[in-house]
Amino acid sequence: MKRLPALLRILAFVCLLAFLISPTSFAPLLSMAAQGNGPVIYERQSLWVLALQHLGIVFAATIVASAIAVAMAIFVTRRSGTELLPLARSVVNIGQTFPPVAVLALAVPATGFGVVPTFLALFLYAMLPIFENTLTGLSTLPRDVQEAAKGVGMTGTQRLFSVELPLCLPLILAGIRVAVVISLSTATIGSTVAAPTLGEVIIAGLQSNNFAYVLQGAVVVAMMAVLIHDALYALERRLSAIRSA
Amino acid sequence: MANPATSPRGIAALHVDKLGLLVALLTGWGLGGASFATFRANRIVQGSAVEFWNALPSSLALAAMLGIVAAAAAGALGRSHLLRLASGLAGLIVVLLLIGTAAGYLTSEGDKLARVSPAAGFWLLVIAFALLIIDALSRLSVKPLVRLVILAAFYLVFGLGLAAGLWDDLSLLKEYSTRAASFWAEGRNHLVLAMGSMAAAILAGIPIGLVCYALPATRSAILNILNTIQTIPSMAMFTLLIAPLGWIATNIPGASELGIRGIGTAPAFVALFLYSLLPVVANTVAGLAGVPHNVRDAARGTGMTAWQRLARVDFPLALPTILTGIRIVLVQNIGLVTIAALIGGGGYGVFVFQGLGQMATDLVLLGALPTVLLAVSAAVVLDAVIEAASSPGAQGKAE
Amino acid sequence: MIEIENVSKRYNGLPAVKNVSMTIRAHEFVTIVGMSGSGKTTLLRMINRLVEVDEGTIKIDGVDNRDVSGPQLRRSIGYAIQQHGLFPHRSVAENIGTVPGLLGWTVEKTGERVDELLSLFQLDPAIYRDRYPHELSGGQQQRVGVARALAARPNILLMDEPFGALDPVIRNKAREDLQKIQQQLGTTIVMVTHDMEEALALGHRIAIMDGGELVQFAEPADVLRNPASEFVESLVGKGEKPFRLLAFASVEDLIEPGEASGSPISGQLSLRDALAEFVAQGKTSLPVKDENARIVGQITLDSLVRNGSGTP
Repeated sequence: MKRLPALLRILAFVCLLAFLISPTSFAPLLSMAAQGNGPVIYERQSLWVLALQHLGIVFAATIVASAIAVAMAIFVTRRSGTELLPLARSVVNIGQTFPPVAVLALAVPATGFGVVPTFLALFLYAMLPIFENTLTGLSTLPRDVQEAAKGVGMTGTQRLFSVELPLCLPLILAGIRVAVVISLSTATIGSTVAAPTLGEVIIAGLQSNNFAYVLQGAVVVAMMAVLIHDALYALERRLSAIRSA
Repeated sequence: MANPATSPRGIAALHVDKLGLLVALLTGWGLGGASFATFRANRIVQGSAVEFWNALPSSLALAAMLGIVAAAAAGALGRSHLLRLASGLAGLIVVLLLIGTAAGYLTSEGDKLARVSPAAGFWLLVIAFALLIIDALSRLSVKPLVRLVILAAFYLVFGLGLAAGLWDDLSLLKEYSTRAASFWAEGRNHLVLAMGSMAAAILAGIPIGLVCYALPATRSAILNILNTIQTIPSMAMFTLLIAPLGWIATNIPGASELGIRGIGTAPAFVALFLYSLLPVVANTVAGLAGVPHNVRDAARGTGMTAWQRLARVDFPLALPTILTGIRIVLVQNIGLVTIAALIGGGGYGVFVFQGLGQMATDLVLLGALPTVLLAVSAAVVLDAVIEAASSPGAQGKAE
Repeated sequence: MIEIENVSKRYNGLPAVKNVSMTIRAHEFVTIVGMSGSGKTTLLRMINRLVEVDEGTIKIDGVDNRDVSGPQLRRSIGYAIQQHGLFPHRSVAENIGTVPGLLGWTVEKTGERVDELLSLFQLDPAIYRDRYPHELSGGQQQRVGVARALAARPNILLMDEPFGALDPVIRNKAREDLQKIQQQLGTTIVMVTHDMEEALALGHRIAIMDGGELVQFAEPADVLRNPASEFVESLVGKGEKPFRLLAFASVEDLIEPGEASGSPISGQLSLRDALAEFVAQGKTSLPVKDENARIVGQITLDSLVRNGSGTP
C-alpha cells in the first residue's frame, strides 16, 4: 500500500515521456475527444519542444529569482540592511496578494508581447515566496547554534555559508517549490501573450473547439506540475530529516 | 544581554538611510530620466513618450516638481514615521492629480480619439511614495482594523476624485466610459464567482476538515489529494473541466436548465471550488490541532458532550486559523477568476484577455487594475476580520 | 593566564559589569557564580570577545585580547554553552572538527583528534562519529559540545552553564568527568553557573558576582568560612554551610589512633559522607581503613563536629 504513490508517480512519468516522444501513438485515445474529423494531435509545434520551452522559461525565472531573493533576504538580515527589513516584509506581503495573471498582464504594457513579459512576471512573482521563506529561516535560527558558531571563531561569512544558509535550506527549497508551481501555472497563461509554452496547445483547442488539443495540453501541463512538485517536496523532506534537531 | 559583538574601536559609520536613498533615486529617475505620460493619437497606435516638462504647463510643472522633490526629501530625510507617512501621502496625491491634469493638458479640446496614459516616470513616482507609506505603516505597526479604515478612506477619496472627473481625460477612463455597463457587470460576475465558490468551499471544507481531524487515518490521504489539486495549473484545471461538465449538461436531465454548461460559469465555479478546498480543510485541521490539550481536557472534565466541546471550545479556538485559510482562498480566487474568462466564465479577465488579443493596453489595465485592487482589499478586510475574531479568545491560546 | 583589569560594560546606559579585576592562573578551574543579571555571563563573554569591553583590558598570557581579530581569538579558546549549540546539519565528527577545520588542519589530523576526543568522553568513535546531534541523548550532546570546544587543544575553556540542561543524575556524572578531564589536560577553565553547589564542587577558586560587581574571589573553603558580604552568605546558605565545609576535608585529616567498633570507612571519604556513616551506623566513633582495607585508626564524631564548626 505504501508503495502505491511511488508506483503511480513512476507510471505517470513514463506515460508523460511516452506521450511527449510519440504523441501519435496516443491518437486513438484522444480522437474520442476531437470534434468530427479534425486533427487529433497538435502539430504546429512539437509537444516535446513546447514542453522544454515551458520548463526552460520556468526554470530560468526560478533560478534568477532564487539567486536574487536569497541575496536580498541575506542583505536585510545583515546589520547594514536591517533598516529595510520592515519595508521588505510588507512589500512581500502585499505583493503576494497580487494575482499572478494580473502581474503577467501588467508586464505586457511595460515590455511588449512574447517571452519577456512572461519571464518578467514569473521572475517577479517567484521572488516573493522564496524571499519570504529565506527571511523566515534566517530570522528564526536557533540562538544557541548561532552563539556556538560565533564562539568557535567563525567569521560572519563563514557563519552565513556553513551554518545559517545550510540550516535554512529546507525552508528555501519550500519557497522554491511554491514558486515553481505558481510559475508553471503562470507560464501556461503566458501563451496568451505569445510566449511559447504548452498553454498554446490549450488555447488553440479552445479557439478551434478541438477538445483533443485542450486535453493533451492540459494533461501534460498538469502532470508536469504534479511530478515536479512531488520531486521537490521529496527532496525537501530528505534534507530536513537530517536537520530535525 | 546578548548583544552581538561590535567592532571594538570602530567609529559609528555616517548613517545613511537606505530607504531614503532608494526614494531619492526613484524620484530623480521618475522626474528626470523617464517619461511621465504616453500620448497616442488613437487607441491602438504606437504612442510617443512625453517628458514631465512637456506633460504639464511649464509654471505648473516647475511648482509640481518642487512639490514632489520637497515631499520626497521630507520623506527620505525625515526621522519620524508620521512625517514619512504624511509626505508619502502628500506626494502620492500630487502625482495622481498631476497625471489627470497632464491628460487634460495634452489632449486638445474636442479630440475624442487621443489617448494619454501614465508612463514609467509616473509609476516610478507612485512606487517611491508608496514605499514611504508602506514603510511608515509597517514601522508604526498599524493594526488591521486601522488599515481597514485607511482602505475605506482611500476608496472614499478615490471615488470622490473619480466623481469629480479629475482623471476623465486619462486613457483608462476613456476606455471605461465606453464599457461602463459591462465593467460593472463583469465586476459583479467576478465577485460572485470568487465568493460563491469560496462559500461552497467553506460549507464543504469545514466538515471535511473535521473528519480529517477526527479520523487521522484519512488525514494524509485527503490532504495529499487536495494538495495535488492545488498543484494543477489553473488553465489546465479550468479547461479539463469543460468535458465532464459538458457531458453532465447533455446527459443528465435538468442539469442544463440549472445553468450547467461545458463552458462558462459552471466549470469555473467547480475549478475554483476545488482549489479552495485545500486552504479551508488544511487550516481547519491545523486550527483544531492547535487547541491546547489542557483546554480540551478541562472541557471534557466539566462534562461537556462531544458536540458541546466542538461548538463551544474547539471551534471558537480554531476560528482564527480557519479564517486565515478563508483569507487565502478569497485572495487566491479573485486572481483565479481572471483565468475563467478564457472558458467564458466572465469576470475582469474578459477585459484582460480581450485587451491582450487586441494589443490594447488600456483594456488590459481596465481588467488588471480592479483585480489587483479587489485582491488587496479582500486581504485587508479579512485581516481585520481575523483580528476581530482572535482578540477575545486567542490571547490565552497565544500565551 | 587571564588577567582581567578594571573591566566595565554597559548596555543601553545600564551597567552590566562594573570595574571588575581578577587574575585567573594557568591550569586553574575558576567558577563564576551569581544570580541571573549579575553580569557573570557578560564577564565570561568578554574574555573571548563575544562581548566587547567598554573600559579596561583583558590579557591572555600577557597579550591584550584585542590584538587579534575576534574570530581568530575565539578559535584559540574553547567555548561550551548550556544548550550545547551543536550544528544540527553536521555529524558529530563534523561538529567536533569545526575549529580544526577553521584552523586548516588536515583531514587525517582532524579525524584522529575527533576519535581521540570521542574516546576521552566515553563515546565509541565507530558508533558516534557519523551520527547527527538529534540522534544523541542530552548527556551525549553535552559531551560532544565540550569535545568540540576542546578540539583544537585550547589552553583555555570557557563554559556557560554547560550542565544546565541536564538531568540531576547525568549532571553529577558530567561534573566528575569534567574534573577528571581538567586534571588530565591541565586546561584553564572558567565556568559560569548559578548553582552554588556546582561552583563549590568544581572551582579551585570561586568568583561571586552581584549587580555587575565582583564581590568575592577566593577558594571554596574561604568563601564558606569568611563570606565577604551578606549576599555571599545567603548564596552559600546558612543551614548548608557546615555540611559544605565538611565536604572539603576528608577522613584522613582527622584520623587518630584507637580502635572503634562498627564497619570501617575509607580514609578518602569526605567528612560529609563520614557524617552520614555515623548517623547510618548509629556510632560516635568508626574505624578507618586504607586502600588495602587495613584498619589504620579511628575517627570520632567529636573531632568531626569540631572541624565542621570551623574551630579545628
